[in-house]
Amino acid sequence: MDERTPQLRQKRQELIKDLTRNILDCAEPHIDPATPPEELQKTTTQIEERLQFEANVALSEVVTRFSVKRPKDKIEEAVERSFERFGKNFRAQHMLMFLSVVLLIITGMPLKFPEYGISRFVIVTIFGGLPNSTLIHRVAAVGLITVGAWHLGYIAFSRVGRRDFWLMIPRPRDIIDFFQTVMFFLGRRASGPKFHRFSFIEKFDYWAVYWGMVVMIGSGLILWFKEMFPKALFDIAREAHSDEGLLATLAIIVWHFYNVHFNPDVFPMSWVWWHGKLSEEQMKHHHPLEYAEIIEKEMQALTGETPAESSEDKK
Amino acid sequence: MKCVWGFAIMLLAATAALSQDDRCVSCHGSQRPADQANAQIIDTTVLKSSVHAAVSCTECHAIDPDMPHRGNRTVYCARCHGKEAESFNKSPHVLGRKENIEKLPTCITCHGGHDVLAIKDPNSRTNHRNAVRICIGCHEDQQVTEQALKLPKPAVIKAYENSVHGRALMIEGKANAPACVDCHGSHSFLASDDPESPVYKTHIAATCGRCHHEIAQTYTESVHGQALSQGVMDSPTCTSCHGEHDIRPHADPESRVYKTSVSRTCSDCHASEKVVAKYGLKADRISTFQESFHGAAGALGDTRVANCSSCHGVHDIYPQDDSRSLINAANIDRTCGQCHEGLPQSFTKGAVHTSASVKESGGKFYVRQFYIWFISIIILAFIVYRVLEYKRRIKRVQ
Repeated sequence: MDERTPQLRQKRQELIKDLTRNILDCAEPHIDPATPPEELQKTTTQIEERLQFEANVALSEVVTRFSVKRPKDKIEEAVERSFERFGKNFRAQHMLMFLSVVLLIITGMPLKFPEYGISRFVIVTIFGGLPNSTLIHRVAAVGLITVGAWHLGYIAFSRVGRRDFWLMIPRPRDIIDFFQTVMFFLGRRASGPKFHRFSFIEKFDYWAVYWGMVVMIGSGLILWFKEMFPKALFDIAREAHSDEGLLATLAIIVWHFYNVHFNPDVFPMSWVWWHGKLSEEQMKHHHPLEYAEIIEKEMQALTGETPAESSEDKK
Repeated sequence: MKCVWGFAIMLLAATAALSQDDRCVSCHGSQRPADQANAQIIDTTVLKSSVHAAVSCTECHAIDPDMPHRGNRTVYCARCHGKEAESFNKSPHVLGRKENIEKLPTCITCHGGHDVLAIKDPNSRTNHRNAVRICIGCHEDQQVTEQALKLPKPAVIKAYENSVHGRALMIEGKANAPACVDCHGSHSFLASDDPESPVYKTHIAATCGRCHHEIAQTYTESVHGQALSQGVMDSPTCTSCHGEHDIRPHADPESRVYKTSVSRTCSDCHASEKVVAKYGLKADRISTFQESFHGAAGALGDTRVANCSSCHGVHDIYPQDDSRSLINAANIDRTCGQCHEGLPQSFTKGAVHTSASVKESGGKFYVRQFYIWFISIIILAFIVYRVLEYKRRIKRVQ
């Protein structure tokens, strides 16, 4: 098998080239003769990449289904393939975080809008008065601070955490992705950009939380331990806490809730936060580059080619 | 034999007492002659048990010498009660006659006729505990208040019944609690805009002070009391904060001076553009309080947080530069310390009543400005992005 693989790969490349030519031939009557050749060349490359990708997918499907190397139960599982997006640790962080944030918002927001009936309803009727709600606010604040520390430890000391943090770092590619997405929305492009594990949307979501955590925890601690600070700093902290709280709430509703609740693809709710898994379909659609990379790696593992980076990853 | 003696004694007594009154009673008593069918019957037992038992009919009633004396029921109370009558003649109850207001009361309306009893008598209509009902009887009457436009609406008067004074007097039976006449004065009942009236603005502290001595004294020395005594008629007196007929105990959540309501009461003047501009007061004292944690918590029903009077005093409000003022630099540590132990001087000496919407507040202002722009831009961008995404989605479905 080892000896045959390079030849097979070459053969596959030739087939793809043939197929591409075939597709272009079929399409010829529809192509404007005035199209510059470099545009055509670009499209040709795109078609080749696409075919390469689909071939990898199909190949992996065949291999996972009929592989002799895998134990039988794993084959069964492999038919309904799923990909772990969030590990247990990360899901636990998310749960503690949203519990804290929801409590913080409903006990905090009424203090920004005390004149509204709903604020009174929440504080007086639901929580039984400000002494209770401020206590809950502080308990939830401790929860949020815990999540912050936990996550910093996670990205420092956990392998998956380190890997995901590395992938989360914004890159120039994200700016390009953003403009391509807008162009796609405006109908100037046939398709949106392909994302890796984290799209620019998810990166924005993630880093916005850093900003919010720093402002909210910092100002919140000043309000909590006001005896240690001058009045002017207290005033600034209170204004920042109140305004940032509003911003965070709006961002969660307009941005995050849309992504995970109101978006027609997932309505009423995406369950990824609970089981942490994405289906193969979802992976192909939302994270094609990551998917391709995973498949590529599996292929290499199956065909015996184990590049240095992937073997390091296995440890 | 005994019967004969008895009859003889009765006859003797009757003859001895045969006077002017008996002549009246002979027609107006319960057994009138047939030819006097129109004569009004007087219940002589009522008369005899009244405070006027010893007063003969003619001392009150002018008698028309011609018999029968039709329709002449005029009563002259003033003959004996000159001082009261003089006072009553100045009252709106008498002056209202010029305006042709019906149902105006006379002496009898309140004190009763033949059944008049001494005020101290618990059964007297004008006894302290009962008098309120007489006043309310007319002042609650829609017909009356519609005719006399200057009169307050019935609900305003009726509020007295639920006030701390009304409940003390009428429900708890405290005899020294004030009834209508204690504040409005008996007989004269001058309107509150009459400078002679005990309820005229400058006299109210003294009127309330008849019972609440120390508080009235403290108030008179306060910035509000001083201003009023110098002729600043906009300065508040007792009723401006506590209400008039509807005065509630300060611990009653319905009270105008309840912990969480007092800022609204202060706002009547301190957030009034007219008052603030006229006297050069700072216009944002109420709005900045409402913006603060104290204000917000109070609005959400928390009674632990500071309200206006926690820091500025209740009746003892002085200008900040007065050494007696609770917010004077010498006292501010103690004032904040009532609730917040261990606040450093850097905190207590910091500016209070700062507003995020004026530059003078410093950092707070710039933080607010930053967030106004930041929130607007970010949320707008989010929404635009979503709209574009949605439009594309619809296109794809089509």
